[in-house]
Amino acid sequence: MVPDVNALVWRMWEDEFLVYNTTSGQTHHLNLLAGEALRSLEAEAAHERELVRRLADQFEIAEDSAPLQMIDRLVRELDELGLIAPSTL
Amino acid sequence: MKIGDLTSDQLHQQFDGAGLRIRIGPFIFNLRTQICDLIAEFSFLYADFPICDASEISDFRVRVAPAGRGRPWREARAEFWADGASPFDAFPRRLATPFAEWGFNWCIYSHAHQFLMFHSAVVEKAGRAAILAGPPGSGKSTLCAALLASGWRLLSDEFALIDPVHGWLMPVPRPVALKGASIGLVERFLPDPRIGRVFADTRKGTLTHLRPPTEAVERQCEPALPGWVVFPTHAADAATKLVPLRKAVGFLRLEENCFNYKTLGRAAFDALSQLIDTAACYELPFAQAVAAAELVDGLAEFRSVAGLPLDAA
Repeated sequence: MVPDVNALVWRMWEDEFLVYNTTSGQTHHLNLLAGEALRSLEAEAAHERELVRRLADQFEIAEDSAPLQMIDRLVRELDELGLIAPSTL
Repeated sequence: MKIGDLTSDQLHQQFDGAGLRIRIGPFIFNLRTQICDLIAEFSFLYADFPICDASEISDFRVRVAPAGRGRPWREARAEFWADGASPFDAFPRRLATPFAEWGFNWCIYSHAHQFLMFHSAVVEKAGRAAILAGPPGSGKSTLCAALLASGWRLLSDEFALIDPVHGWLMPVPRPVALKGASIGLVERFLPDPRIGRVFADTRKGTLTHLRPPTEAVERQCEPALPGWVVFPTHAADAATKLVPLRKAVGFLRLEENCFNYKTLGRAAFDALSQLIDTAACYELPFAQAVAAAELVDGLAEFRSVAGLPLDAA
């Protein structure tokens, strides 16, 4: 989940995202997959499997395709950046 | 009245008395000093700037004063003070002008947080500004001077000041600092360069200042909208070319050159995003400033033609 959904401010240019975290004051540069994953978690918290399903639907790719096989690492990185946190789902 | 209208006696009387109040872009500086060389050099470089009357409140009260030698064999020294703070140790008095300029920079980047501030030169043509951003040594002042020779208006040699509410770039057309080999270059490509005293052995090597063009000072209350963000990099063996940058990358490169991004927080993100929305971003490796200036000038010409109504083009 995104700890405070009001904390993130978004800009998107040419399939790249910049997201400003008003809580930390940090600006993050995210590629399309990372940006859409974070936007999805900002809209509604999800387990990793649910997140993979959502992204597979959005990008119209298989759930076991190469980019989505790395989603656990992406989620860990977003957590380390303070953009998401574990929820009690 | 302008500084250049004052006689030598009047200058000394004002600088040595309550101080001379000068409008420089959106700021009013009050400068006091008794140092004769500084009075002469400053009044040459700032000759076209208007003097403010006593009813206008100064943003910065600056004093450049003689300091003790410390040791009898040391050369004469001076100190820079701004509103009770002194950002530098005492320095050789013969370098009072460069230190006054660096002190003015310090006043602005330490206090003017009503603006988003970048380390950049800024020039304008036909209402659109090119921000030449980069660290010291990237060649932005030399490129800036070459663009002045191509009819661009000087907004600033040191700072891009962005009004975060309107997205305008505010002029601060102070003297252009030229270093090392760029001094001779600029003397060659500017038709009538008005260059101040040359200072050897400063902390930035040999240094001088180009007096701002009169028109730039007369129009220092006219802001400009951003048109381009250019990151110049001078290298003797560089192939001179404009390389388009992705907007997200342009944003992050400009953030690196920002003095107060963290201080302004969300307002800085919004203002910088607005700037990047409207401005095209480029890298510009270059070997020769004149060739690089031609490329930047071409951007303005293209935009000018592209902006015409169809029946006029």
